[in-house]
Amino acid sequence: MTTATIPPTSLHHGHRVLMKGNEAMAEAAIRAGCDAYFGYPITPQAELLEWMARRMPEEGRPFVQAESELGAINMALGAASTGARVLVSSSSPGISLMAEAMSYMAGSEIPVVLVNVMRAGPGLGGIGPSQADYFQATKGHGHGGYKVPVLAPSSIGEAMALMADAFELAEKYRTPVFILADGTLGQAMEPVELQFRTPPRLASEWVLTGADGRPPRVVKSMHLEPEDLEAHNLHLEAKFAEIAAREVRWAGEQLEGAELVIVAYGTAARVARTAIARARAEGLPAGLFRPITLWPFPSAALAEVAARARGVLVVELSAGQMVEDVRLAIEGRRPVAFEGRSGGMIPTPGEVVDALRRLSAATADATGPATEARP
Amino acid sequence: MIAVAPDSLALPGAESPVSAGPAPKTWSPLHIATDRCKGCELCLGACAKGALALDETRVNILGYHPVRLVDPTACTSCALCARVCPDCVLTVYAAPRPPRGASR
Amino acid sequence: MTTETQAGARVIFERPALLTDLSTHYCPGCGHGVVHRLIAEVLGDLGLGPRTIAVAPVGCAVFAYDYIGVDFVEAPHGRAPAVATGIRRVRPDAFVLTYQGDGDLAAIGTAEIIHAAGRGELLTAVFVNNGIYGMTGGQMAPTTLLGQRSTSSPGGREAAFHGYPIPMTEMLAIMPGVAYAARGSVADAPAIGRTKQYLRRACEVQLEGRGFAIVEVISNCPVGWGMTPTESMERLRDVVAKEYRPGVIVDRTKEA
Repeated sequence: MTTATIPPTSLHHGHRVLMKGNEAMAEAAIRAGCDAYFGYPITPQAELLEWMARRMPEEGRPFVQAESELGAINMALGAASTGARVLVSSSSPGISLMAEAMSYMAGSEIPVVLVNVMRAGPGLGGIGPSQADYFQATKGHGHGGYKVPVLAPSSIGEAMALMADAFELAEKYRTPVFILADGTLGQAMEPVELQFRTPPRLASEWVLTGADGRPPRVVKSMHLEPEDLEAHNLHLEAKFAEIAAREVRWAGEQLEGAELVIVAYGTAARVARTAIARARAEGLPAGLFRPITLWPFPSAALAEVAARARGVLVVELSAGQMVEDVRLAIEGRRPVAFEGRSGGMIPTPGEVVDALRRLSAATADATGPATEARP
Repeated sequence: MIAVAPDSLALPGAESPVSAGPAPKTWSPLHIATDRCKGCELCLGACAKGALALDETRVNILGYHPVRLVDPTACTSCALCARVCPDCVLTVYAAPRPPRGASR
Repeated sequence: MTTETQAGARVIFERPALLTDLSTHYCPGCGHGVVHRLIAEVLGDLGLGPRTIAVAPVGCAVFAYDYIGVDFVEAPHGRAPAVATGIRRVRPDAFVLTYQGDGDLAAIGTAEIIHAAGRGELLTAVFVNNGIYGMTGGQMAPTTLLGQRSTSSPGGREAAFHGYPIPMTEMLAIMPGVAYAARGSVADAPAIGRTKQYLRRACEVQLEGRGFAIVEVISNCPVGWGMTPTESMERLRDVVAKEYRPGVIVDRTKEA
């Protein structure tokens, strides 16, 4: 049963409503022109599927609860190959099942938006929130070597906005796009000012519509001749380079004069925000660097921000995954500390402030490039 | 997938093929795309008249002995050979219909 | 068209227009060539070329998209019915066809075919069953017969060790969403003729909006079976057809 309490007829652009994250993402997708939704129930994103089950038929658009996440992602592959704007959602174990099709979609250049409402793992794990799928999303997920844009909202309003952006990115670059949320964002309710956006449709010469008055088209990822497949890989790499050059997003808060920079995304960024307020109140000059694209990772911007600080603290709902990209971006020039919780636990602002104090003490007499502080 | 040249390689002692090359002026019941034949022999088994055989004096571009219509007069244009062929090697013709009113 | 009409002679049989003019990679005598041709003939006869969006498998027929001249999407191994479901749901006017081998449909893709059939998706599924994994070198398939040797059952399939061959089409036919299920064979010209009729009916069932339609075609693999093409067709007729019996398995369009 859906727990939605808000009839969609009252969801007007510009109105302020209290909305559950999963449902808000679903409605944002519908307003962004999502033509079809395929999914499978899994906690903590079942509400997204249930909202779609009710709303998509109202809009006259296909909804399918597939037999598994394998079925759902492959239905998405097929639908998107005909030019449809397609959404799939799941949570971590289901995302693992989708890795095969993601690789095929990256190789065949098929645009699909995939929401991962992350839960704690590994394995069946738990249903608490997590950020432990960072590696999975940003380092290729499936086999064969590819990247997909990864968008990380840290509020429900931002999640709705990024949904429209995700469809746009997917179609512009002919790529799957991840939206990486976590169980807290998915299941919490918060006030949102509704900002819906429907990205324009791009004309495309590759979609399958039936070979009526034109030569047949084939959407495929197989290129058996090594020379051909290498050329295809170089083409994909050029695409990834273009995305990396143009689509990096991040947000800074209170970075002016920040000697200690917290790097965090999603729910961790919200905890960091509270911690920064408390830290500044006790005289610790801390600021927040919040990546919004986890891939392409805002390495250059982070390096620049870190250069003006004494030290960097990475906060994640995991044992530490993004921290590796932070260290790569900073290249050892500043100490990088880490604070994280696993298993569905969320770091508290108090724990983060303690970590800031430790980092501050460790870098108190830093005058130049320092050796790394290990977490 | 495989680019094919329209020639087959005649081995020493080979005769000219009956039906390779452009269509003859008088009609033949069978046109054989010798460059597509894989020598699988399924058409031989399908032919009730035993009119087909592999031409072992030739090797085609794919490396097989292509099929040959050894007895054109035996062919009834039943097309069973063509229907069992996995490679559409055989195109089958029948005599033009006599004009209406003409005697057979 | 590959030939000119000769001196007014009538064309009795020629390559269908939707079968592209390429030499296939299939082994000599392989039934895939015949099934491809039958599909090209049926789609052409029904005028479906411009509307068809087909789904290609993983297996020897991975190159089907090079040989049948319609829009095609490649599916991961076994997933063709799910890929086809996605196409069908967003393109109500398309004609949607899947082409799968026995590994694709009866092994890795069991869930996808059962659920597409169970949902009664308006799809036409072609299932080429030659009881072996040809592309990967001749391993045992779920439909390999008892006693049949393969590279992964070198002593011959044993029920106690390998299990029994799986009758996928009979299993699917139980479900009400399956409007039509038939099994054809390519063993000889009469069988090929009947298979074409089954394929045509399976396409019509989709056009009539009746439900899911599947045609299994028992076929050969001369190289995998270790036989000449002629011997393999004899085995198909005399051995395989005794276990996987050709005929119409269910036709719910006649019941209403």
